[in-house]
Amino acid sequence: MPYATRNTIVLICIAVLLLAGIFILNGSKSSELKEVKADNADMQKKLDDLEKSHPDLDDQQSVLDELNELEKRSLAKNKLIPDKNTPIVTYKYLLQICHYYCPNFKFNFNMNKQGEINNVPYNSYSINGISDLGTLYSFIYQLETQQLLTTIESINLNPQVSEFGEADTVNYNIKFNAYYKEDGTKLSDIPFDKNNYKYLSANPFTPKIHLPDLSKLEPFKIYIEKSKLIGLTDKIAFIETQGGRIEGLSPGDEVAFGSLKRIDNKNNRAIFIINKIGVRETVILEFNKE
Amino acid sequence: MKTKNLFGIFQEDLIIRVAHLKKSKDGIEILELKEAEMNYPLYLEQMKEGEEEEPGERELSEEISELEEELNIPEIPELEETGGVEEVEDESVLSGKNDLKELLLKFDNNKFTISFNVNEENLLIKTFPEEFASNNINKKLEKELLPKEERKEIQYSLDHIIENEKIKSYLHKGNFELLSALKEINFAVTNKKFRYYSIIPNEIALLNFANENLPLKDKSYSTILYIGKEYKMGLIFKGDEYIRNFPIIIPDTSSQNILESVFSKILLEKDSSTIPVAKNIYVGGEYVSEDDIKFFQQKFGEETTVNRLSLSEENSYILENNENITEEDIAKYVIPLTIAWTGLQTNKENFYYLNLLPEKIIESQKHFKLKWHGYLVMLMIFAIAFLGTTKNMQLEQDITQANKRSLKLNSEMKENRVLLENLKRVKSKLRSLEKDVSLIDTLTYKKNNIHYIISEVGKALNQNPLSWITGFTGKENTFNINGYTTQRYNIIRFSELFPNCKIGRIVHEELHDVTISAFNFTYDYPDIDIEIAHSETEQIETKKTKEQETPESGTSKSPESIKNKYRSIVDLYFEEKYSEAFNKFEDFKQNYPNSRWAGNAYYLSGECLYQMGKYNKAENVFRTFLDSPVAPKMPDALIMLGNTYIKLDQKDMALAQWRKLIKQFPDHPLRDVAEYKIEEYGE
Repeated sequence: MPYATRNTIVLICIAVLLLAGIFILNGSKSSELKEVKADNADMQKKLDDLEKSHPDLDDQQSVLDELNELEKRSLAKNKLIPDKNTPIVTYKYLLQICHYYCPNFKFNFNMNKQGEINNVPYNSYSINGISDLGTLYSFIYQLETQQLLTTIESINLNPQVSEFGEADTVNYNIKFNAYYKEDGTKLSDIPFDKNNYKYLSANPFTPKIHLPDLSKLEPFKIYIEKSKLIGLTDKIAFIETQGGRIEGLSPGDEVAFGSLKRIDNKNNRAIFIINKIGVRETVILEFNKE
Repeated sequence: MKTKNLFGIFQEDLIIRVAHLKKSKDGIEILELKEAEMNYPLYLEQMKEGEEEEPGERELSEEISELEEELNIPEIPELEETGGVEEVEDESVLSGKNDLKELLLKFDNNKFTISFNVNEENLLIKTFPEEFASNNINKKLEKELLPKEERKEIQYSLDHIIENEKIKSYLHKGNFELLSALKEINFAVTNKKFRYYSIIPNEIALLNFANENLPLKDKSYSTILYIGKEYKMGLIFKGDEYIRNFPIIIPDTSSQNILESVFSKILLEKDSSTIPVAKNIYVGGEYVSEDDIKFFQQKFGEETTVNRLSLSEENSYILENNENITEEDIAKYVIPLTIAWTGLQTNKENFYYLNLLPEKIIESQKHFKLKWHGYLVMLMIFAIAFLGTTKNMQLEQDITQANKRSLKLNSEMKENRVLLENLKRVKSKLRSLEKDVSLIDTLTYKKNNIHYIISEVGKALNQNPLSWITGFTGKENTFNINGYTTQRYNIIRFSELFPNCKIGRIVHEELHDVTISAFNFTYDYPDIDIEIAHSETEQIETKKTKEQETPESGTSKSPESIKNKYRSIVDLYFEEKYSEAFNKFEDFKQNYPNSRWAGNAYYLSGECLYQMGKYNKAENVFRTFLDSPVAPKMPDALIMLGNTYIKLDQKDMALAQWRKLIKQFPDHPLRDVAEYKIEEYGE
């Protein structure tokens, strides 16, 4: 056989082997690729299914936001239901409030009844007594904002007003419920916030109109209603008191329950601002030349 | 296998002749002709077998043996043939290979393509009719000439020519000595490499030369006489037809006797056959000198022409470039020359192409040879390899990408699973928290607000002089407030403090000579959570509004943002940027006509006009403002309206405004200002 022919046959064999080799190699690669692609498609489907079944998966932030919001609300409420409640526990708790926030607060303590709201049992108590409003306010604030869950069910406040308009004390009567449940937070685990101060900025019970408090009247102050204007210049008004004493007053000088506001020299008069009973009055003394 | 440079080697006994021929585009060219006489045969066995020990030498050895016996010299044992060092040295020294090697080293070439001769004595030559085989002749000859066992066991070479419609086969058994010697030389001389081209019988070489060069065309008989040292052969032609050969075997005598013997042999051959004496005799080999030719010419007579074997005129160009080569040289080197020539010109009609070079040697020297179909397949292999590799790379790349994607998907899946776990945990926490918060919300709904209510009432009363409360009662769903105020408008404001206010009673009483209004309100508890949430929302919206809105846009409706806008305009007013402030107050009035700051904005726009000296417009604004049912800045507006009239030179109108203030707002701090103004302008 000619060498060229033999070589051709050898080459054909090599070509066939090469073809077979490539076919086998590429076939195995193709099947590997197919396998990986099939796995990927399967994985993708699982992912899609997962995302379909959990649409909020991509929006976890909103769930977290919701949780944060709820936690915030929960913290704002700052309330925990204890696993037990007895009058002793409650009384001890009230004393704890007094100890830290209102040491002078005195109260009478009664247990009224037991009940249940939404399957949550409670004990009802009432406290009453007399207290200054600031102390009472501190007490109420703690009762309402400390973490142990209590709710004020009714309250009655009646001020004890002095005749000179000072609401020194308040008669109070408060009914409140203290809740508990078996699966509630262990009582000892409910923290008592010792840094929960809040004060009343203004006492709404203070009467704005009252009898003049003569006790506050200083002996040598000029009592305008019993005095006469006897002379005036642009800057000084001369006043004669009931007792015959003559005093020169400039605008701004204090008199009993008020002060000299202005001298009206043109019209021969002195204008005073007087607040005797809580109401500001303009009192004008006129100078009679005759 | 094509070649351009060929060495034809002719070995006859101890004579080696080499013809170096070159093939160029112009044809064949003889480059060199060299010869050497070897001192020894190529292989020692040949000498041992061929030569007998000289009588003198035998006598000498016998004498030495006798002398050894007399002197009692112990006999030295003979060394074995294979192990004897001396023998090995003798072999290398006594071999004719060294002479052959030296001869070849005389040529400058490093690569030798060699064809050499083989004597017919070493060949089995048989003739078969043409019908013997039409194809696979060599195979059939093998079967015919060699028993099956020999075919497998011995080394042999077989080839054939077709001559006169007959198949003439040439079979050689065993090794070619020259080939073996050349191989060994080749091994020793590393810088010279041999390539073996062909082995041609002497007869074929002579036939080829005769056919190519001699004028053998008429029907007369011609004889070629090759008279070598050992090889002596006559070839008879009738015209151009080769009839037969006849070996000339004569005892080794002097050259004159050899020629006589040859002549006698020819005559004997003539007598023993019907073939007449040749008309033309051509002589080649050792005896081709002028004298030798003359000798034959005299012997054969005038009817016979005796010439040397020489090149035809057509082929005389072979010698053109080499003047040193004579016709005598051509006749002398006729066999190696023709051997090389036959190898170089492979398509001559006159040449018989026969090669006894063993197939194994040919095979081992074959270069990679392809025909068109081979190249086609090669191309196909490259194409397959290229396409396959490309496809493979593509697949590899795809797999890499798919694996990457797989990794990504796995990581995504893992991440999602973690997210899902987190989500479940968060949701569970959320549900639990929701439940607790919901329960606490239910229990504390609108409760525990007492501190807030007291605080808010305190703040509200603090802003309303001459108002206070005398009792506070909180029940389950509502709480009740009893109180006093000197200003009836305050009652409206108090009613707005908490949701769903119900007025129980409003009674006017005299207290220490002051008329006061006693009121009793019942409210629903406020939801602090909603108010806190509302307040926080307002703060967030205000922030957003500040970030997103330009101050001029004025489209935000949240109370906080409206308040901030109002304050920003008031700031402009206090910075005495009256024109800008006026424009913005105008916008504010339009955009927020119902806001609690709308009245103030209206009043302040009048002040801006006043400060800008636009008194008529200012008067108009203040008057309009005073016509509105509830004007918190009414005392201020009366003062400013009076001032505006003064600027417009309407003193009476101005005094009327100030007096109105004193009458309507006797307790207002601006009363003093009004009185002062009246004093100042009221002449």
